[in-house]
Amino acid sequence: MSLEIVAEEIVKKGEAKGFDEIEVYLVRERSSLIQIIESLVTAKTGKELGVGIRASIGKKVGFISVSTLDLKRIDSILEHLKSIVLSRPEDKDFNGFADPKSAKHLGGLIDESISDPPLDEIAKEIKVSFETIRKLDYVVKVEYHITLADMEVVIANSRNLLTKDRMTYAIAFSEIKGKNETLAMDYHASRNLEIEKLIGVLNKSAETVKEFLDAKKLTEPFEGAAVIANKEVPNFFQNFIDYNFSALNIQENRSKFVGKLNEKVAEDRVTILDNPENPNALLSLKYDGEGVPTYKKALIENGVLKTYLYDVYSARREGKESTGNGVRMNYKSQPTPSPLSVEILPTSNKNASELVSELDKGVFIKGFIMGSHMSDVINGVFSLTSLESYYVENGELKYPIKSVTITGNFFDLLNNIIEIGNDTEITFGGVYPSILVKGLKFI
Amino acid sequence: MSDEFHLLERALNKAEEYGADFAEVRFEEENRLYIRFEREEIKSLDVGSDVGIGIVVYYKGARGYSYTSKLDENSIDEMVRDAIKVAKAASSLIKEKIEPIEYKPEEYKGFIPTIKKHPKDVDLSEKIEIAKIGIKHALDRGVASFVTYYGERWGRKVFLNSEGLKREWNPIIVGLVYYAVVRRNGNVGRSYENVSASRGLELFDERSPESISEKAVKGAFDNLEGKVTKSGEYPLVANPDFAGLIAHESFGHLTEGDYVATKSSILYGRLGEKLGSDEASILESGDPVNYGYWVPYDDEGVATKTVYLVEKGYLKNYLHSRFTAKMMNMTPTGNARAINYRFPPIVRMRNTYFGPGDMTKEEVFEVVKRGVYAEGSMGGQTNDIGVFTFGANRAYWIEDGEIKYPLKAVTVRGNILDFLKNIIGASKEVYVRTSIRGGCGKAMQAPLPVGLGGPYLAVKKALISVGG
Repeated sequence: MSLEIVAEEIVKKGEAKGFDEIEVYLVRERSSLIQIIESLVTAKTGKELGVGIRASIGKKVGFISVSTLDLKRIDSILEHLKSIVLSRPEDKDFNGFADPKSAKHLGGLIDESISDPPLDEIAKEIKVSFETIRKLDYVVKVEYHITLADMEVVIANSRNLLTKDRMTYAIAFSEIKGKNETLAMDYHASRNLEIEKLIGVLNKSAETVKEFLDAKKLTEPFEGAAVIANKEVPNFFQNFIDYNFSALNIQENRSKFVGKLNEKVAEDRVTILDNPENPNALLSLKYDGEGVPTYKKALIENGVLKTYLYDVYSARREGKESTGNGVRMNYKSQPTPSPLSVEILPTSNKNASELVSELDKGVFIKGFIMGSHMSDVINGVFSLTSLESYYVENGELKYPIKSVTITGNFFDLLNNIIEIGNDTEITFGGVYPSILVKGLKFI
Repeated sequence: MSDEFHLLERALNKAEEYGADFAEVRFEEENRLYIRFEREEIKSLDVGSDVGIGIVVYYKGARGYSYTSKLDENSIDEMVRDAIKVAKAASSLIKEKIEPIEYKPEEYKGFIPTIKKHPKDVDLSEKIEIAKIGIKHALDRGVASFVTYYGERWGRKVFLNSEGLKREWNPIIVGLVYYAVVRRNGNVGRSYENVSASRGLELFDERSPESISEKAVKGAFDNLEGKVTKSGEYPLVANPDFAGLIAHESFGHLTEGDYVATKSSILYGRLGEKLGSDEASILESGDPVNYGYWVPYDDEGVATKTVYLVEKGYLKNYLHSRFTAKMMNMTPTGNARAINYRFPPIVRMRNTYFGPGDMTKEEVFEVVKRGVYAEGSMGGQTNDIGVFTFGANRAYWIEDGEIKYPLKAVTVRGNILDFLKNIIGASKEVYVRTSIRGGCGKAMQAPLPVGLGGPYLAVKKALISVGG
C-alpha cells in the first residue's frame, strides 16, 4: 500500500472518530551506518515507518506519534489521541491545519544510489584511508562514521491536503586524536553520494593533527578580527537565527527581533536568505512539516530585517499566511517555525585563505568548535572553544593555537561583518561561505 | 505463543538459512508520556509508542545490524538480508574474526519491582493531578517560576538468540521533576528535585509530590541566601546523588569494555591495582537498589549481576558485553545495552554507585568536621583522563560536623584518581536514583536511563569554588 493511501486512510478513520480536523505526517526512512572506532566496527541498516498525528475537537488540539504503522492498531491509537485532545485546555489561537497548495519548486536533489548504497565499496575505501592514517606515528586514535539516508515524507489532512516529498543525504564524520593532546574533527554532508569527499574527511583530520602537534597557546588574550571558515559559520549563526526569526518567539515576546521588522539589524552588505529552493542544500523539501509549499525568502536584505518565519498556527494568529516554515525535527515532534536552509550571500569572490590575507591581526577559525549549544540565544551571547584555529598577523598564519576561546555577541556580529566570501559549503543548517568579521574576543 | 515470538524465531531461522554463524534478535515496545508544566499550565504533552525489531548477525567473522519498525514476515526477511549485507561490508574493515564469548545462561537474582499502580492503568487526568499537588505547594511558597516534568516510559522486551536463549521482561520508569526559581531583592535562587524509579505510580504515595516540591523550593531559597566563601581546597561531604554523578561520569565510563579494549581508557591494563583508599568502592548493577533503574537482562540476554568496579580501593572489573569480553577474554557482565531497536547494543552502565561504609550519616559529617556539603548535581563535565568539574544542585557549609548555612553556586573540581584516594568514610545507607529526564549518552544513543548513587561520602579534600 502506498504511503499516500495509508495517510488518507488514517485521515478518514480520524474523521469517523469524531475529530473536527486531523493531520497525518508519515515518514519512511531507510538508513545505513558504518562506524569504525579503532578496531571496533559497527555496520547497520534499517527501515522505519513513523507517523505523527495531530487532531482537534473544537479548539482543543492533541498530538501522538507511533513508530509502526499497523493499520489494525490505528483505531486504538486514534482512541488514545482522542483522550489526549479532550484533556487539553482550549487554545483560542488554533484555527485548523494547512490548506492545500501546489509546490513552488522541484525540491532537492535525489541520489538513487543512496537508497541501496554500495556498502562493500564504501567499506573498502574507508579501509584504505583508515589503515594508512592509523600507521602514522603521530596518530593515537581514529574514529569515523558515515550515515546514508533516504527519506520519504507524506502529509495528509482533513482539508484535502496531500503532499509527498523525498530527500537523500550522506554525512561523514571523522575524529582523530594525535600525540601532544591534539584532536581534530571534520565532516562532509551532501544530498548525493560523493564517496571521495565523504572518505576524504579522514585525511583532512589527519593533516590537521599533524599541523597542530606543536600548537601554542595564545600569548595574551586580545580583541580583534577573525576569518570564520565556511563550515564553522553555523556555530556563530544557526541557533540565533533559528530562535529569533520564529514568529512564535516574536509573538511570545521572547525574541530579540521583536519590533524590528523592516528595521536595520545588520551591516548594509549583509543579506541572509532562507532558501529551501537550493537543490543541493541538505534538507531542501518542497513542503514543510505541515504540507505548506516552501520557498526562498530574504530574512535580512542589505542589513534590513525583512520577515519573520511562520508556521500555520503562528500565521493565523496574526491573520497571515504561513511562510512554509513549519519545521519538524522528526515524526515524533510537532511543527514549529524555523528556517529550512540558511544562506549568506557573498560580497566578494574570495575564499577563506584570501580573506585571511586581509587580516592584520586576528584569528583564522578553521574548525573543531565546541559549546555552540550553550549559547544564550535570546541575548546573543556565545563562548565557543576551537581546537583548530590559527593566530594571524599581516595576513599570514603565524602559528596553530592550542585551544582558543572565542566570545562575542551574535547581534553585534551582524553589524561587524566586513566581508563575505563565495566559497560556500553545505552544512547541517544551510549553505554558508567563509566570513571576515571584527569585534571578537580571543582567550 | 505471541506474534513477536513467531517473528523473532522466523528471523533467527532466516539468519541461519543465509549462513549466519550466530544471531540475536530483539523485539521492543516502549510507550512514553511526558508532560511539561510551566506553573499550572501544561506547555507540552508528548505521547508516543515505539515498536520494532532489531537483529545482530555474526557472519563470516564480521558483525552486522539491521532493524525494522514494520512487523510483517516480508519486512523481517528483508531485515535479516540487510543485516547479512552490512556484515559482509564490515568484514573488509575488520582485522580479526569476531564472535561473542561463550555464555552459560544464568537467572537474574536481583530485586524485581512489583508494580502496584501501573501507568497504563491510570488516567491521564490523575497523572496531571499528581503533578499539580506539588505545583500548588510551590506557588503557595511564592516561587518566581516553576517548571514541572512528569514522565513515564514502559513497555516490553523480548530477546532470542540462535543458542536458544529466551528472555522477556517489562522495563518501566516513572518520575516527577520540579524546577524552582525564586527571587528576592534582585537575587535569584534555583534548585530542582527529581524523584524517579522503576516503579508504578505508588512511588508518589511513598514520596509525596508536596515533599518533592518542597525540596526544590527550599533548595532555591537556600541558593538565594547562599553565602560566598573563598575558593580552594576543602574537606567535602558528597550526598548520594553527587557521589553517584562522579561514580558514573568520571569513573564508570573509563571501565567500559569498548574503551578499555581499544586502549582508549586510562584504566587499560590496571586490574588489581590499588587506585583508592580502603573506603573507596564503586559498584555497578542491574538491580535498582532502591530508586535506580531496573535492568534484569542486557540486550544480549545476559542476566545482570552486581559487579565491583572498585573494591576497597582496588580496581576489580571492567564492564563488558559478550562482544568486548571476547576481545579481552573476560566474563560478560550484562552491560550490553541499546537505547532502542534502531541500535545494536554497546557497553553501557546500569546503576553505578559508591559502596556503603560503616558510618551513620551523622558520623560522616563529624569526620569531615569543617568543609562543604554538596547535594545533587547541576551539570558539569569530565574528560577521558578522569578530570572533572561538577556543579552542586545545593550546597552548605559544615562547621563542627554540622550543616551551618547554605553556600552559593558550588563547583567541585578534581581528578577521579585523587578523589578515590581521598575518601575517608561512607555511610551505611545507600541511595541510588534514576531520572525520567536525561540519562546517559554515548555513540548517538541518548538518553539511556541509568541509576546513580552511593552513600554519604566523606572526602579529605577537594578543589571547591563557591559563588561561580
